[in-house]
Order: sequence, then C-alpha cells, then structure tokens
Amino acid sequence: MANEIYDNSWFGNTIDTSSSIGTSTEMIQGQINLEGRQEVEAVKCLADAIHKIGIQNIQN
Amino acid sequence: MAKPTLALIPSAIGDKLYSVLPSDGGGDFDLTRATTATRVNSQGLIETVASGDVRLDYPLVNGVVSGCPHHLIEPSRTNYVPYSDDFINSAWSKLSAGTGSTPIVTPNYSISPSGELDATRIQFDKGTGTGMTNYSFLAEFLTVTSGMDASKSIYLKSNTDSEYDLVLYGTSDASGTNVKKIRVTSEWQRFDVFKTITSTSTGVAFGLREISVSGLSNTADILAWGAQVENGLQPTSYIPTNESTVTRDADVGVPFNTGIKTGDISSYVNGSNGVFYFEGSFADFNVVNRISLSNSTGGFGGDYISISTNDSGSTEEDRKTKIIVFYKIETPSSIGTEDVTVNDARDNFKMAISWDGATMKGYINGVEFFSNSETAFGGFDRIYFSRADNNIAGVFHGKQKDLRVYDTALTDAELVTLTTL
Repeated sequence: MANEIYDNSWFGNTIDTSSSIGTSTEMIQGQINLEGRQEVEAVKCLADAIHKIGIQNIQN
Repeated sequence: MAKPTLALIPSAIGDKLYSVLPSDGGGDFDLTRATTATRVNSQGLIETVASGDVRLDYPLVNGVVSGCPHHLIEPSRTNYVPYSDDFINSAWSKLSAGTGSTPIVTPNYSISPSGELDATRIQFDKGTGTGMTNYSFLAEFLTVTSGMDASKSIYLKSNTDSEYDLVLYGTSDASGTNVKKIRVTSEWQRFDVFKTITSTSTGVAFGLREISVSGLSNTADILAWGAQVENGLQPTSYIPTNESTVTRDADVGVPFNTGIKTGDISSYVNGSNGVFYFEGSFADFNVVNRISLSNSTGGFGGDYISISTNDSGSTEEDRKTKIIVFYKIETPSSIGTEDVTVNDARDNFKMAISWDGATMKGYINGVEFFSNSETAFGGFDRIYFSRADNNIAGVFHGKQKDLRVYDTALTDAELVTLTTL
C-alpha cells in the first residue's frame, strides 16, 4: 500500500497519503508550514519521514 | 502508534534546526556558529556553509550519497595545515632518498571532493628499494601545542586504473595509531591517523616510505586534496586553509555559551506519559556529550532525561562503547543512571525513553535495556543539545538524524518498532 501510493514530489506523497493520515491534518500542515518558514532542501526525506509516521499511526 | 508532538527531521536549511512538528514552529531549535563550515551536500560534494547556518550533511558510501541527511553538530577545531590543498607550495616538503625520486606535483589537475578543479596530482617513485631509507613522499612539518591529540587526515584517490599502497603518518612519531598503510583506489577516500603528542612538533606525511609499514607500491600516481591536522581523536569536517591556520567555531545555541535548544515546549510534553526519542551518533569522547529533555527552571535539580556519552570511562575505547541515560524525577526525588554497551557510539543508533507514571523504560536499536518502577515527572519545557542545565561543558557533538517527543507512552511493541535499525 505504502509503496503503491508513493510519489517523489513534495506534495504528491502528502496528498496521496492524506486519506490514510487524515486524522492528523497537523502532520500535513507541519510540512506545508515548514516549507513556508524556511527552504526545505531534503524534500523527499521529509515527506518520507512524515509518510512513515502516518503509516505507523494507522497500523497500530 | 501515536503521532509525535514534536519531530525534528533534518530537511531544512537556514539558521535554525527546523522541526516539522509542532506545525507552528514552536519546536524549532536555535543555533549559531561564528564562522563558516563545510558539509557534504546532496550531490556528495564538500561545500562551504555560511556562518550561523545549519549543516545538513549527507552520508557517503563509496563516494555516493547513500541516504537522508543528518544535522552535523561539531566542536570548534583549527586546521593547523596552512596550505591544506596547495601541495605545490614550498610548505610541503617533497622528499626522496635511496632508490626514490622526488615526487612530481601538478596542481589543479583533476576534480576534487568539492567538485572543483583543484585536486593535485602527485607522482611518487621510491624505486625498488625497501625499508625507510628508500623513499618518495610529501610532508608538512608543523609547530603546535604540546599535549594535543593530533589527528591528521587527507583525501586521496588514484589517478589511474590501478590501486596503490601508500603510507600516512604523523611526522613526530610514526608508530601505533600515528601511522597507517593505506590503499588508494579510484574513489575519493579520507584517511586519518592520530596520536597525543608530547612536544610542539607534529605534521602530516604521505607517500611511499616503509616506515613502520611494509609492502608499499614502488610507484604511485595519485590525486590529493584537503589535508588537515587538528586537536582531536578523530577528524571533523574539512576546514580549508590558504596561507594560514583556520578555526571553525562550534555549533552552539543562542547565547553562545549554551547548547542548541528549543524555546518553551511544555505544551507538547506530558510529565505523566511520554517518549523521548533520538536517532543519531556521538562524535566526541573527550568531554561530556549529552542531549536532554529538561526543565529550564530546574537544571540538575529538576526533571530531566539525558542521553549521554560515557563520561566516566578511563580510555577512549571504554568511553565510546557505552551510552548512558541519566534521569531525575524531582518529586518525589528519584535519580536513575542506566547504561548500555554498544559497539561504537559513533555508529548510528536509535534510542527511546518511555514513561507512564508507573514504569520507565529504555530501548536502543530494538532492544529494551532498562525498566524501572518510577512515578511521573513533574514536567519538561526544553530540549537541549547539552546537559540538563544546558551548560556549554556538556554540549552534544555528533549527528542528529531524528528527534521526537510523544505525549503518550508507547507499548513495548511500538518501542521495538520505533527503535529498530
């Protein structure tokens, strides 16, 4: 599931997984706000980390 | 598994360590550094970062970026080599004797680890003679402070399809940890040796000379860049020099004599239930290195949890093979000291400390290493890359890859999942 919906783009991962981590808009908002506060260089790394936290959240 | 209330995932550049959670920036960490510094960037190249800015440093395997970056947090260091990549300069002695020939040095010959055309080609020829009297090598002799832990390092690569066996050594004493037979390949590698010196003389030498080693190549055609001699047991990030020594200042908090830290995070931490999670590694075992979930009004007298190097070991080997967790519950007073043996604290580790008002547990790399009956903490309001009192004497030096706070305790299975490498 996680790999099938994976996307390398900045918002791709966020949007594609939003239904599964949808109970926490703060996680998505955190990504968006971080981009707003400062330049995010490791875009995919941040998206992957948030994605993993979201998946762990719904699996347990 | 619950979601963290604070999450520091190294991903943004700028003058803070930017936390993705909480989303309002309330978990950001201040940072300052009075000088420029270098990092490995996302292309695998060594580049200079402006003073005061965070260093997102990428891991390299065989010269290729192999994963997501970490925050690089280092102590102050001086590169005592005044011509760190100017090997044609007369400060670098080109030495030969016996069957050996004087090394041929050609500057700006090839691409260096910085991506610039500033690597120097050096052709060594010691002939067929063996032993330390037949040689062809370069050396820079330095005057430094007696008693310092002189770490010497240099980037080397083969200039041909062949691999070469060379020697790297400290000029003051080519023995023990101060001399190394090295294999120079088609990939850039950073080699290092070190020794605590007992005089003001030291220096770095490399090339073909069988001094405390044997079986070196008779000839070698290599590229060299980035020589560094510094006061420490292992090299830190490269400090470029040009005509004089250069000091890179430490990565610290604001004000200068504190560790990197958050503002008030009390609303994101629960003293009764929670988890403090860290992924990264330590890099300095000469002094105390800690990262602490703490209480700004309490210091050592208040509630805290500190993940620390082993500051009581008698040798570097002892200190770097143990990680200690210190904690204190202010009321009722309870102090804990729990240690865990690791192969090398310079290797990446994942550690989680969990509390639920009845039991406090520690996990590292998927394994529980302590479980104690403890009451709840009163509360926390800061994270320090330092001791619980955020004293400059205990600042963290190393790599931070992940840092989280949960406001609820996690189950044993979740702690295993969270900390498994």
